Amino acid sequence: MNTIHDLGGMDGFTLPARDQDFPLREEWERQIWGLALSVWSKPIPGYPGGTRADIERIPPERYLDMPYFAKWLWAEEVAVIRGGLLSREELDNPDAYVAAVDVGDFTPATPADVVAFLQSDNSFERPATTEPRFRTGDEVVVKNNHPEGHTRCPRYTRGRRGVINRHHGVHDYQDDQPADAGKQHLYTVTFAAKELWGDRGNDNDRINAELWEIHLEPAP
Amino acid sequence: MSKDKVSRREFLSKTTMAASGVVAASTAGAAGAEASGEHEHKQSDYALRTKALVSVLTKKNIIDPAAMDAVVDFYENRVGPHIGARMVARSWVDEDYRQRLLDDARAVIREEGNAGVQGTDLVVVENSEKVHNLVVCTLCSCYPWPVLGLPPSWYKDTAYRAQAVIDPRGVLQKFGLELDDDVEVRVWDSTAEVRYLVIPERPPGTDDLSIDALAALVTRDSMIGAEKLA
Repeated sequence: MNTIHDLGGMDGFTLPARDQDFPLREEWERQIWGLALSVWSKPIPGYPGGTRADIERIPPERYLDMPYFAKWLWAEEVAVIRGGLLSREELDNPDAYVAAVDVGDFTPATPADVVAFLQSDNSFERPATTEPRFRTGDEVVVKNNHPEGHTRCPRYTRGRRGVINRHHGVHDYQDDQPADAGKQHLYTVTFAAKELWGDRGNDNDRINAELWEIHLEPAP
Repeated sequence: MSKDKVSRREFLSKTTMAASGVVAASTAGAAGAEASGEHEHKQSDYALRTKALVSVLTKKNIIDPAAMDAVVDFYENRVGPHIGARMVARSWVDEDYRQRLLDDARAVIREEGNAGVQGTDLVVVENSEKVHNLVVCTLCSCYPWPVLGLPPSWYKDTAYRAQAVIDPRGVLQKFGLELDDDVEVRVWDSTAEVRYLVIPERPPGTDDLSIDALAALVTRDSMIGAEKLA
């Protein structure tokens, strides 16, 4: 989606001071963080939970107006309603009657479950069944696609020429489209600042981004 | 490993003093511009909505509030920048370790028991006199939780995410770090599940320090590339 979450290269925002606080300041922030990670650590079968794609679908004018953890709150609300775990009415009247929901023999994550999950080996690398198309040092061009669904290919890289800096093996592919892309080789691609930003780029500067093989084609 | 058991709060309060000379601790930008009345109103709205969500999901036996507390406790007291700081300090005194970090940081954190959610596929890059690395996530807020804990608010701010890729030198200057023209700036935009940790330059005059003493000098923000160590 070409929307506000894809912020790289935009002007006009005011840079904040480098705060040194612990990021969970308010009690509700601690709760929504704990809730999101609890659900993530032990998902209910068939129920996906809040995702980055849910956050990206927040209307842009509201996205800019929301503090960070309010976006997580939004995503969790959207996800539980979409999953049929609860209704908007129940959220509006939490003290009223709450309908039971059939989650089979599911039991919620315990403190031990979440700690084990947070310390688990969370690599996204998967066994490779195909040879990588590119090698370190190869010149590539990022395809100029603008999918309507979720994509991890930032706009500022599209159509730009770069060099393969590192091959990470095969990783889970996260974009919505194409749905049949399967697992994909993942690369760090290095772009010259001038290639991305023209006269504003400094000759000495390089910007790196991770892109999946399907985002790239060999440079002509 | 007992030396690593500095709590996150303790670590941050130490590094606050180290960084306080660089940027005033006042809020700025969107948060600062918000009128306080409206700010309070929004905070209470978020608090009410969160309470409703937690209450209904608890009644339906979908979440256990004790598990939510365990999540917060984990990030507040167990993982945090003290873990990355120790890796950096060791890389300064142990050439073999430094090389292993640069070649395959994932293998190192697996070996050390520091792999975890949002950060197992770790890449370590290092600063030098002529190279300065800066980490960002332009699309959301990707950050190496297992070695740095949760990202600071400034890292998740729209302004930082927007400007770090187009004007890294301007961002660093506003953060109090002026780079010479001949320094190469390398920005790392975490667009997949790869996460980055920066080895800052070792401060001068620290030749005689132990790994513990060196680790105490390493700030969170220096491991993102947002500051140099004095």
